[in-house]
Amino acid sequence: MLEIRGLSKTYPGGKKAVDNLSLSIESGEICGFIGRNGAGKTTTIKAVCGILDFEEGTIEIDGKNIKTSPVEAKAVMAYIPDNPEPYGFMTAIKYLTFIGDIYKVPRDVQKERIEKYAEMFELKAVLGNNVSSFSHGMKQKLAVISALIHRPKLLILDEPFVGLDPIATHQLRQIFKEMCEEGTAIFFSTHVLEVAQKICDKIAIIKDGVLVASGETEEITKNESLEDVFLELNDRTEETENE
Amino acid sequence: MSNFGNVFKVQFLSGIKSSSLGVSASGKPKKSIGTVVVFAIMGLYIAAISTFLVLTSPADTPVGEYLTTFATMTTFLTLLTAISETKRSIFDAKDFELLSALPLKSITVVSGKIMAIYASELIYSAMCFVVPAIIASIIRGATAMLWVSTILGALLMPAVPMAVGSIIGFLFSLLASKFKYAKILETILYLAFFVGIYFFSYNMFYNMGGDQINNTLTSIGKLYPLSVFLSKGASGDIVSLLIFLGISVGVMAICFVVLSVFYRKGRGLLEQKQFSGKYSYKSGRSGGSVKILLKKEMASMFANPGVSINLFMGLVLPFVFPFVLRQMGEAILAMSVFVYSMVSMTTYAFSLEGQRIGTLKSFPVSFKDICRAKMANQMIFTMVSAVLFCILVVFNNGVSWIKIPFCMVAIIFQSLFNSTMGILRDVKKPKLNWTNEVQAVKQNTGMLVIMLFSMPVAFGCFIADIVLTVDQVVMQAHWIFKVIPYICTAFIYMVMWIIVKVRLNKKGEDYFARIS
Repeated sequence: MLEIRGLSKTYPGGKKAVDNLSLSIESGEICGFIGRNGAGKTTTIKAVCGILDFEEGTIEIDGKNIKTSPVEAKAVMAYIPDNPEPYGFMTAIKYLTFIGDIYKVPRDVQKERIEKYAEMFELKAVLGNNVSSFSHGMKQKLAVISALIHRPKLLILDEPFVGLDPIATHQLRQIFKEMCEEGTAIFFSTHVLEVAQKICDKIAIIKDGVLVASGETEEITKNESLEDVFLELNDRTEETENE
Repeated sequence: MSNFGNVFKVQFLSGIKSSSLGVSASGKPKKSIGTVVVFAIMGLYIAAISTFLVLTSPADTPVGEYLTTFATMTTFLTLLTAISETKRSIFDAKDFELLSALPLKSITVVSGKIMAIYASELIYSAMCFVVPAIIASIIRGATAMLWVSTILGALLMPAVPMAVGSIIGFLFSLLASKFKYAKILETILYLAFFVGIYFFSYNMFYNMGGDQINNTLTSIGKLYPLSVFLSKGASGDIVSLLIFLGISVGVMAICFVVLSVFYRKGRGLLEQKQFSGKYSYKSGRSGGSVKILLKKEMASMFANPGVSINLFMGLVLPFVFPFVLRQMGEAILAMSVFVYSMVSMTTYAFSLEGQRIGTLKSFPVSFKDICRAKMANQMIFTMVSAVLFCILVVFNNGVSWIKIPFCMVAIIFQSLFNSTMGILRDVKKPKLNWTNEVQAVKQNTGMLVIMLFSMPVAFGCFIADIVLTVDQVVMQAHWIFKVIPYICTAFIYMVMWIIVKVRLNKKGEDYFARIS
């Protein structure tokens, strides 16, 4: 579903944020993307979503190249940024309808899905309110609902659990599971390593723009905790660099 | 540095950063040559008007009277900025909570923020005073008091309109926030305010009798009495100059105190009452991408009354250019083309997306559709405003109705050029980091670049209409002479639009891809 090959991105000023990164995620898989602050997670995610231009490599979503067929590639995915800022001048219902319309979801289907997810995330009572009055957590929930309206084949999330209350976090994990069962691929960055270890089929660890480990979760952790593996990998690469 | 100094510095720097005086998103210093050229052209316009005034007024006109016209210009520009910007800068800014949590007095924050906006207005004020003073000095002879008054006028004339505009902007928001459609109501209040200015200044100038420039200058004094004190000061009356200074500083101080009292009550004061719980699902077809995005763009404009008031600029023409109304009757219609040459809502269309630009880029819609929606938004707002202005000048000023359709065609092509150029400019250098929307709008130098190209054409149309209006023999020979300036203007804008559109088609998508 997602095929990244040899992705490299250099920012103006010469900083290489991502260096020759390759990764593949199949339908129905959940992949956790882990790395320290500034490691290149958000850059990679933004490149995958067609938000950020890149110099080298190819990215294909459901067989569609994000550079040559951006509209077709974006139509089958959904993206939730790390700090969602839905349009504050709209009410929540108008925002969700706007997103549903953009993805060409029939209005009756939109209604059914909005009802379902708004109920699940306890936003139904405030759907008529302006988004500007929402807390960070409520905006995060709204962004999650907006990403689910068109049932994407690939769901990309940048730090999805930040700002969510424990119940919403639990519900989001449940939704991840349901979507995977239906064949959706999920690619998300996170610092919550316990959650990543529990729910991810695949783990990719990035350090200074380079993918230092990737594969099946069991293969990466080998009965250790993901936290230990992550710390060890970081220490090891730092030692190599010092040498 | 004092607390006031710190707040002022931060606010002022955040305003100019990533404008032409700051740096671009890539970290490279921006070239400011375009901005310099635009200011030079503005200076030339003001010099032309000043020369016209000085040469056509009676020889015994006190030299200080020339300053009154430009005092009005400064007043209008500052009033518009204050109404749209200060309330947002104080109450709607992203740093509201940060500053509220710091051990700062309310009056320090309020005065620091207002003075930062004030400082950025001084460049326009300086242009409006110094250029006419140079012209008056050359033609009529310089005096020490003329220059003292010019410098004081440049520094202090924006004070009263800044204070009044800030309080009006705040009160309109406060009133509108009590109702369900607060933002739309706020826009209507501004519209009513500008229509009020139109009729007030129209009656003041049109019915004053006589047709000498001198009467016009006197009437400006009646309309804006503060300018009379400055004018007398320039002619040697020191007491008048001190009164001008005292009133300017005093009114500004009152504004600081009033707004800081409201600031202490918190931004909740202006938050719209939530009419929650009631919502309905839309049924039927949603339409194409352009239609869906256009609805969003229009909602965004209505949500920013401070932005949309720029469109009512045409209504204050008699206030700003009274001598046009007095001397050149029908040419006031051509002034509308001139005014709309300064309007390009697309110049900040991408900048206004701010941190949401990533979400917009992740939508499955093409760059062309995004541009079409943003341009259609500008066309709709401009045409509504232009039609309203045309109706007013036909019924109130007696301008020939035959000119109207041709004027509208000229404005359509002008708007197409301005909006396409605005898109090209903004997609290339968007200002995505701002603390309030007005920063993205007002401190976007793209508008200056568009004015550089658009204003000379509009000015040409205006001059052509004046020439034909003055020469009644030609004007009455055939109706086509009445509309020739508009046909030519429309044609020139059409050619310019096609050139820019080709450039946008070639480069736009690349620029859009580079925004991050």
